[in-house]
Amino acid sequence: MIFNTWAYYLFFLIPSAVLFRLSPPRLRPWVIVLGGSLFFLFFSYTALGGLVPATCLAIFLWESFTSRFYRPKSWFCWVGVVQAVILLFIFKYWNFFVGLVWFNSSQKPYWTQAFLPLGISFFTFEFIHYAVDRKQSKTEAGTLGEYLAFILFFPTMVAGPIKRYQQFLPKLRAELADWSLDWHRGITRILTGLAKKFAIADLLTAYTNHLNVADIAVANRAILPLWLLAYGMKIYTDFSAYSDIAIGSARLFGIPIPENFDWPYLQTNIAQFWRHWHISLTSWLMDYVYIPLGGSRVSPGRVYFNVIATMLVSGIWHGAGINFVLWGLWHGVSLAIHRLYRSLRPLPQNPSPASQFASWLLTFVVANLGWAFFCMDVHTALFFFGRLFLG
Amino acid sequence: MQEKLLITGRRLFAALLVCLAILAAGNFVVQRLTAHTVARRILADTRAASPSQIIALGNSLMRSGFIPDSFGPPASPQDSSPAFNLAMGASTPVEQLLLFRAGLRSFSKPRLLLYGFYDFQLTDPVAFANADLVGNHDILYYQEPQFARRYFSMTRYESAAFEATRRFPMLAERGAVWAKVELLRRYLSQQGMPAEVRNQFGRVGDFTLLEARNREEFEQHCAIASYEKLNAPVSEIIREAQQQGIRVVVIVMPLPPKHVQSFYDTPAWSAYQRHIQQLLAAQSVSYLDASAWIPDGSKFGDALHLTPEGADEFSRRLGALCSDLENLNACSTTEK
Amino acid sequence: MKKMKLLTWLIQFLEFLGGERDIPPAGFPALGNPLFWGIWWGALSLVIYVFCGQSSKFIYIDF
Repeated sequence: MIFNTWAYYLFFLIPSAVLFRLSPPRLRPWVIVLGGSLFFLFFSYTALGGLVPATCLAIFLWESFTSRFYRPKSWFCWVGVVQAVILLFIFKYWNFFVGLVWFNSSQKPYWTQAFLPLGISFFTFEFIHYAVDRKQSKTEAGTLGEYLAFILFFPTMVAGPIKRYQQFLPKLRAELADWSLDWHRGITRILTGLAKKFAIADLLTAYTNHLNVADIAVANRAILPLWLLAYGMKIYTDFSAYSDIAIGSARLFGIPIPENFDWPYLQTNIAQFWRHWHISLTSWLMDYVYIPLGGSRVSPGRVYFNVIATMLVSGIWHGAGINFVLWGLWHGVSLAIHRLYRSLRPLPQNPSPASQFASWLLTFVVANLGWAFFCMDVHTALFFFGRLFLG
Repeated sequence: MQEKLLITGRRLFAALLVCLAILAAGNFVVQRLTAHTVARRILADTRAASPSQIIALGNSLMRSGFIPDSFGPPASPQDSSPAFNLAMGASTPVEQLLLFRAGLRSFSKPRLLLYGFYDFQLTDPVAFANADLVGNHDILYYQEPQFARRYFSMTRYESAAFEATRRFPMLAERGAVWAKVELLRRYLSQQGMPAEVRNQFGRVGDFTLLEARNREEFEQHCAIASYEKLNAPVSEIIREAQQQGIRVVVIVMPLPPKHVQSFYDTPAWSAYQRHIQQLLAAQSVSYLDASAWIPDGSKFGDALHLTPEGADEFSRRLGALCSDLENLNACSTTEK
Repeated sequence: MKKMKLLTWLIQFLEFLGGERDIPPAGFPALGNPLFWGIWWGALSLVIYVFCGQSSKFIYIDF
């Protein structure tokens, strides 16, 4: 983790944020570009082990070059989309793909030295968003420096939130005001995120480290639900803590970043859960997968397909493994069932407290059962459910 | 309509100062609470001990395996044992050097140093980053820190981190605080699981992690180590001892039969032992292989450490051997 | 209804304490008081300090 290192705060965040505030407006994007480039090089070298990952900074430079050719209605924008997808496929999914296609072969063309460039899952999605929105005239081009600042903004580089250029640009250009309030709230947010991460998420690993076949086999059956719930809480506090630190860090620059989590475990249906969990990813999937597939403006059967397909993409995005596909399928089917149920039985105007509680409980259980496929491979997850329900 | 938070620069800095004041208070509390950590207790015991002629030094194997009263019973009930156990668990030769130096300042005219080790501790380089200095290693922050600087090649950043850390007890003694959280984690982790076997040092199963994974890995390590010299802190321990006229005996500590059969009954280990003996003989240091002294596996509490019963047997036998220093000359090659 | 209002208030309060909202919940003063925030930051910092060592490998805990 990068956000728990002294280097992040002392060498990158504080100097960059201070320099950003002191710089004239025309230089501010370049302060972010410089800080982000050095951040990428430093943590690629130290956390990913060497020079080769660090050279992936060239990806950002290439993207900034090609982005200058994105025009409204231009086919070239598809080049931007395709090259981002190819990057993601090669670095993240090649070995998974090889395992699937060459499953019978003893000579599989694995990329044995495979590594993941820092933040690839997030920056490729920002590349795709920009290319598509430029094609659809939903965003202006901005200057080269402004676009580089967008893609190299290091507080959100590693783990999101996934930004939108048309929201980021006005804030980058805005007059900076009230630095003391920004720093006050930024510091508060960062400290809250770190406390959440260490005191809750990391402590819960005392339970979640047991989610393997050997420990599941010997554990008292009654503890198994606790382990799964602990994972649900751990992943929430861990990921929302990263978002807290990212948003707090961005606040030091005076650049507000949209919220990424909004009390998802308090929601009373699975659709609401997904509107409150990893909000930036859900909205990205809505805009660039669900709606292009037809969204809700097609036949009901096709809508259910669109929902499930979108969640399959979400699952695959989270990880290159069959278990992630199953996790996406779990949520896709849950969303489809919820949609079908609501089409047959619309939500009452004033639901009773008992029905609200029941809805909340069902949503909570469905979301947490799904985590079994997220944190364990398929065999282990099935073994877990077998022990949990059958003994 | 609720008012927005009103923050000025002055209020922000004032809040930061209050936060720093709380951290300073925390620093003071940690300093008080860690006044009796393991390393500090050993140092305090060393200062308070009556002069000892025989010093036992090493890590947890010596700490648990050497019983002074069994080694050399006092001449009369009023006297204390002539031996003193200066070993410390979870320590490297650098920390052992610091403890030895503390012992030299406290004891007048010690005559014998018994330095216990296992596997490759005499020759493996000791390398630490500042982040590793937790637990008993924290003695390096406050006890003659120049030795940490001497033996760990620190980058400028590491050096600055070391200097900053050692000035704040909250940072230097962080391991003592984190160990409490680790106990909480172990308590949570144990819920719903079969009970773990534990001994005085912790979970028995953990100590297999301190052994080589397999014979092949061990033999590879032997092959490399057979070309290494004694590491710098071990050489310094020998030098300082001999400067004071102290006879040094390096002892391969008793190990469970499984470890001996898996790793020590190999040509590679024998070759490494010959190499060590040559290095030590060149400095007039005696070598004693006690690895197979305790063939009864039930006298070991885990993969490495003797039980009190095993320690008593080892200490008595060692005491009998060392009661006549001339015998130690014979130890250098074949005493088993 | 009262419980829901209390829950909403609690959520807003936690968000205010956590730096997510700049406006405190109804009935809570818009405290810019440096003492309040300094103590809160100090408490968070101490919690971070106590719990941040969990990736350190403790095989041996000797008390």
